[in-house]
Amino acid sequence: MTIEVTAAILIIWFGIAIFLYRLDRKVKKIEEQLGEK
Amino acid sequence: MKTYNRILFLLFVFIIMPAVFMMALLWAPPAEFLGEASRILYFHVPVACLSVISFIAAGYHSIMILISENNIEEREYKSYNAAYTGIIFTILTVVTGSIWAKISWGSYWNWDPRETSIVILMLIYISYFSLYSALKDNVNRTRISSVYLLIAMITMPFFVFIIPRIYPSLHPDTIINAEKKVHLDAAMRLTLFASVVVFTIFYGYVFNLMNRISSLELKLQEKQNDN
Repeated sequence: MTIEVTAAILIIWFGIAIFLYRLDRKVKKIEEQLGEK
Repeated sequence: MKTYNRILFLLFVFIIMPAVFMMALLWAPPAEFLGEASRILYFHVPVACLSVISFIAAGYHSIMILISENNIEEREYKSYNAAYTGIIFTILTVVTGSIWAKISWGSYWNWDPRETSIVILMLIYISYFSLYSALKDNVNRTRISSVYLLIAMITMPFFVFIIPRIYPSLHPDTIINAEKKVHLDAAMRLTLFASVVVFTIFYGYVFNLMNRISSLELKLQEKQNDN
């Protein structure tokens, strides 16, 4: 039971982590574009 | 993100945080009497700590708005974002606490002093967002909402630290207790400490990201106003 809970939490966590990483990259890109103009 | 920052970020979110989750769920022993359900402690305590930290951050930026004339716009979105993260962490505290209450006490909601006081605090901060939205066209919105956040921060220690200690509670002994001793096994204490640290770093990252997005929105608004 604990293994299943851990696996579910880790899958959700990796989803959140990938989302945040992609969001951070997008923000950085917009920051660079605004800085250049 | 610079290269070394990106490596640190990837290391943190893909290795350190999952490792702490695994420590909490697989390595640390279950608490005596509370059983496996006690593992929620490693999520409930960090989010509760972070809600307090966020509200203090919101109060700090509000004080700075009121006493300083510099960077008011930056401080305004920082105080707003801090209150926003604070409310998210408070909701997570209530949800994780309710799940734990269901397992330990048999009901999701027991009108325990700690449950009631945290919900009142949550309502106080939800009111801040209503006030902030209602004052959209008011020139004094920043100052009025800052005064409100300052008053909310002053009430926070009463709801979090004082009221739950005055009335008898079902809640387990807190980390900050009258005996000044942490009643936890060494492995549990280490896991809890690691969990609080990683959640705090994660909070710092999310708060920073929110502030960067708010700063971009502000810049875009300024550009639109110039055109």
